[in-house]
Amino acid sequence: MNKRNYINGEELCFSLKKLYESFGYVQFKMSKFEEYSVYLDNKNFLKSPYAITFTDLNGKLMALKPDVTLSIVKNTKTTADADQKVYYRESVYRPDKTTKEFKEISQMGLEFIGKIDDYATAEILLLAAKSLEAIDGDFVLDVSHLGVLTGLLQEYNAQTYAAEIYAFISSKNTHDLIDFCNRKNIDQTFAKKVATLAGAKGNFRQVLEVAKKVATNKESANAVSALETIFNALQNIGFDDKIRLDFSIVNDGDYYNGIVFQGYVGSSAYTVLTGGRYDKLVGKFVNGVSAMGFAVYLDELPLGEVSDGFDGDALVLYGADTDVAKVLKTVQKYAEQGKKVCAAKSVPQNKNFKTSVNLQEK
Amino acid sequence: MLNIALPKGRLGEKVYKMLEKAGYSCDEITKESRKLIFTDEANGVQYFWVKPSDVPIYVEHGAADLGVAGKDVLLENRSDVYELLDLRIGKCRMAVASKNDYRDDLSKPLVVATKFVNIAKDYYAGKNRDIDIIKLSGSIELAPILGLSDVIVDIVETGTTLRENDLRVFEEILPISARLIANKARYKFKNTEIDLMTERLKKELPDD
Repeated sequence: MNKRNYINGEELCFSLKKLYESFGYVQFKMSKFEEYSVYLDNKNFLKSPYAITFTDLNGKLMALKPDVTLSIVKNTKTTADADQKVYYRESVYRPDKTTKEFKEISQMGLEFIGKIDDYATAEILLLAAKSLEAIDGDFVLDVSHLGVLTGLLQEYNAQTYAAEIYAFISSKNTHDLIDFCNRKNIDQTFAKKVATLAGAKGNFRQVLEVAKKVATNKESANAVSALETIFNALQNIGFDDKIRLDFSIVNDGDYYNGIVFQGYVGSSAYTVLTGGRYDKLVGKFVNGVSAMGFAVYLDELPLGEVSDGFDGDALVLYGADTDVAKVLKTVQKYAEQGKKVCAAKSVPQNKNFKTSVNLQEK
Repeated sequence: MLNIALPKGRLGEKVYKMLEKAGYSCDEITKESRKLIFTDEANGVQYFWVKPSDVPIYVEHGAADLGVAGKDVLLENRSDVYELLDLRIGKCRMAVASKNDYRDDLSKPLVVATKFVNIAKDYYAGKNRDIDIIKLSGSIELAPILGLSDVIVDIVETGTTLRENDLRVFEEILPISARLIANKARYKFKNTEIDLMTERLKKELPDD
């Protein structure tokens, strides 16, 4: 069976915070509510179109944030010549797929807004890989470039069916893709090329070679060469077998353009990190600026108490007549040794301690 | 070790036979027993039977690495999984059916009885047709006969039940068959094993 290994959430957030700060990112804290219209105007850029709304005292319709990136883009004072590098740890409110009720989702992530060059791209991918490593040494970061696909869609005039085609690709469903293209009279060469990309296997270099053969139009070829630049930059940093090229990663084509990526860890069955380049969204607020970032979905991780089978290291038992100072001193002694200690008048039910000290008067 | 969720029933048994031929047999599974999980260490597989409509749920949440589910179930659940192979068994079609003498009245919303609410919604949204849905869990064919709905959206295999009740297929929505699905995250870490199984199963596929 797939075993559950718990991860300490607080420790993880602390190490991610240190990681992002060491690369020059500063914390962004959202302490105010956005007007609902901000989300409504940018609905295409949101993962979920729903938000919890309420009327503020001045009559304005406000919302509990369903998304953090939008607020960061809107609130950071980015100009074309000053980069903004921020990270955040925030809650967002979105409906649950099963219960159809809103829930609080905990996210941590970072955004680079400004001039995204090859270095910035490599840095963000490195930080994504390092974030995954901090969660679980057993991880995979899948990278792709949306340009490869949009180039092909244009070349074969298949843009009308982009949504359907993206859906087939993201589920590696090549049999239905080929069938669909047949029914819609889309060139079979297109179907074959896309199927080859979505099904390409092997390490980054091997998949890149496959893509080079398929990407014959200008846009696709440019995208492949952007991926090669990334590959060359990230080579030999110790993540060679963990950073992979996978064209089935399409994320959300409305939101992202260019490089996109997703992260997985052995201890979770879900996508725990997603990110990519999102120039379209930032372009709505500032001209001539690009942006890239990612989010770690803390709720998709098996967070919990890392248990050794005990509820504490020591139990200090005291009675009604025991000298309080003596109890306090004993408790303090254990606490100073970094041990978890519990003082009680009787042994707590259903709890295990490694040792116990009895200070009760005989 | 690969954990595989198989759909209970006739389809699941067919699937297991395919897996057996592909080299993933498990002696335990063929014996009468009350066990819930069947393991074969040598072949590196672990099987369990679940309700067919639950297969994508086990896979999506990673309780199973792989599973076999009908395309109908996958579309209805909108499962976020990899669909690696069309197994070409359990073939049937999703269709719109009604009484032989039925005629669509465009002046009012169409009343659709179905088990597959999402499939029906998506299909009619694509045609810009307003509908009201009545969700049933079985004996869907009764609905138009009793006047509960105008049409039904349901799986049609041979069409015998329809014919015997003066019903017929009006529109085909899509062909259905069993698919091999995988959890996206588990696939990343077990891709060699999963790809090998997919390749071996490809050799056992029935002819079209």
